[in-house]
Amino acid sequence: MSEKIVIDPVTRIEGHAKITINVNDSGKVDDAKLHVTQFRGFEKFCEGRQYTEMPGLTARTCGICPVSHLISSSKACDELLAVRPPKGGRNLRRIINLAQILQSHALNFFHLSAADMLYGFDAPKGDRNIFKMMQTHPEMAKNGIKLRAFGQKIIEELGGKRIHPSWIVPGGVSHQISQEQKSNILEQIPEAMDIVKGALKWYVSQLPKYKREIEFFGNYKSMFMGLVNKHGKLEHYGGMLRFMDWDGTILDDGVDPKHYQQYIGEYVEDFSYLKSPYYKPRGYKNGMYRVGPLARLNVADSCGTPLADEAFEDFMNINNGKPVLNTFYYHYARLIEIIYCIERIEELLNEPETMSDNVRSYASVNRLEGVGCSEAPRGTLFHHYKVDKTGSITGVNMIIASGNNNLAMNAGIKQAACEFVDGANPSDGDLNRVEAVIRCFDPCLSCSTHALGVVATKVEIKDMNGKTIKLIDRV
Amino acid sequence: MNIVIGYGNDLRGEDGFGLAVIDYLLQKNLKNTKLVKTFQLTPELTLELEHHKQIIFVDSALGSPHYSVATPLKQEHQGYSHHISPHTLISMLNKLYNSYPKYLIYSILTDAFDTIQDEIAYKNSIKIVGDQIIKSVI
Repeated sequence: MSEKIVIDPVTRIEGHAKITINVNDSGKVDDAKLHVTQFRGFEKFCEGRQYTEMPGLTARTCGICPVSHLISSSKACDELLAVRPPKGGRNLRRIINLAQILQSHALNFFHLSAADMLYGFDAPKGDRNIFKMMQTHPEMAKNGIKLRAFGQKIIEELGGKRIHPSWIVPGGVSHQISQEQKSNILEQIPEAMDIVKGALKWYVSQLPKYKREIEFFGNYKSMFMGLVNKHGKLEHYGGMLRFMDWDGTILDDGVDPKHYQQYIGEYVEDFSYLKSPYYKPRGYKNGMYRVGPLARLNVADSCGTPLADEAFEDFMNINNGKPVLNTFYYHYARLIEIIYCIERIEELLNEPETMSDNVRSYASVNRLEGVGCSEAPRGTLFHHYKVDKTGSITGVNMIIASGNNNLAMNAGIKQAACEFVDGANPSDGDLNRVEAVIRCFDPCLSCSTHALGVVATKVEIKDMNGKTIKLIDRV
Repeated sequence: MNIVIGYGNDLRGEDGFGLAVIDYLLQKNLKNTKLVKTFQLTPELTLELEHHKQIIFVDSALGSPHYSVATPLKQEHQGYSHHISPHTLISMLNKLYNSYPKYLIYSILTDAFDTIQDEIAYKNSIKIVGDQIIKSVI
């Protein structure tokens, strides 16, 4: 009789999810699914509000990456106004967006994921966490705190507060920064860079221990999507979309994000509140693509900053210059992106226009529809607004970074469950491996369902009739 | 030096209690006391806390009777995500920074996370907790 294993809640992620693993009559895993169990409905309740409120409202989608929402939302509003922010405003928006990515990546790597590599996936459950790290590797835990604090400090310096700053506005940013603020950020850069370089060295040194995980943690053919700049380099704020196939073939390039609906379809499955976006030309499921750090490095020709490009070269050698398909390497890409963020923040701060007092363009509504797109820590983020002539919102669509990866996350946990989980006697270590696939993607599920929910991460095992035979609470 | 951290979301009714208490304390010009408002407790707060002798957390907590002021002696382990509990923060201070501050937690018990249900009772709770904190820091 077939059975179902349930992992609920999935731990060390942001938001609430459970995983079900279907086991067949012979005790083998047939399928696995990620269920995102929360719902909020931002797209609906924003209707009727003024467009000027949208950055502030949609930033509340998330307490982790509000800056990313502020950026995409304000860019959508720029489109409604038909303005381009001045260079100073664009640079400052870029800096705060990079700081957001840096701090989020730092927390995922040091405090949520590194414990699996420090102690092994089969280590006792009580040891695979930050608390054990504090005992055995306090410097690593402190480095994670310092690096995240660096990113948060930039957000606070520029935006006025760490969470939900209101400084990013339609048309640019609300005010310039001071020389003192600039100096405060620049003086922290050497230490931040030392920390991430050390972390990358350590991560690479650990890889030989995890050959099986590298091979079976979501190692499959998929497309990749991300923004690249006009030179094909890594881009997080502007640029155009690039879609790349698993073998490196560029499927579409130079795609203006405002045309995203021609390329991305959105499907809704009945087992999750998380939408399943797909690449439209290939149809649902065949159109599975990945976004986020791994995808961004895969689609880019290079990073465009010296130290990140050194690391990028090693990264691309993993698959002889072809896209890296192993989801396990999301962490690798994340660390390279942190290096890039630090270098790029320094470059931008030293550009004269960044200190300009001309940081905002002003206009009233000139268009009735606008799309804003940027790269959030977890991938490409779209905000799409429709307004009437008074600026009142008549329609909202958001594709959240983690949502883009929904099909890929499901494919990843299925592969890991089939490889590692003994349906008759699932071990804690093997269930942890299934969860760890999700952690590689670092999903922000509160964000991606724009949700209001209850914490849950469970693994459920069901028989072929859908009856739950085992429920494993992962708290 | 003391530090008082009020945390919560003032868009969510009485969840903003900790922030309201900080606003109350801001009017009192307390000496040797730093006041911090934040949405949630995050790991990097340890860097701000490590040199303080006394830390006071102010929050609202799901529970009853409504508007009771409680100081939980023990909290269940909440795991570790992008936000953490006061106990986790203190544990990080102990283990990572060899810092052992005295700490207090004041929580108002409520189930009103959409609106402020009773303005008078709510304001009274702010005053009670605020005045208690003032006694703790002078």
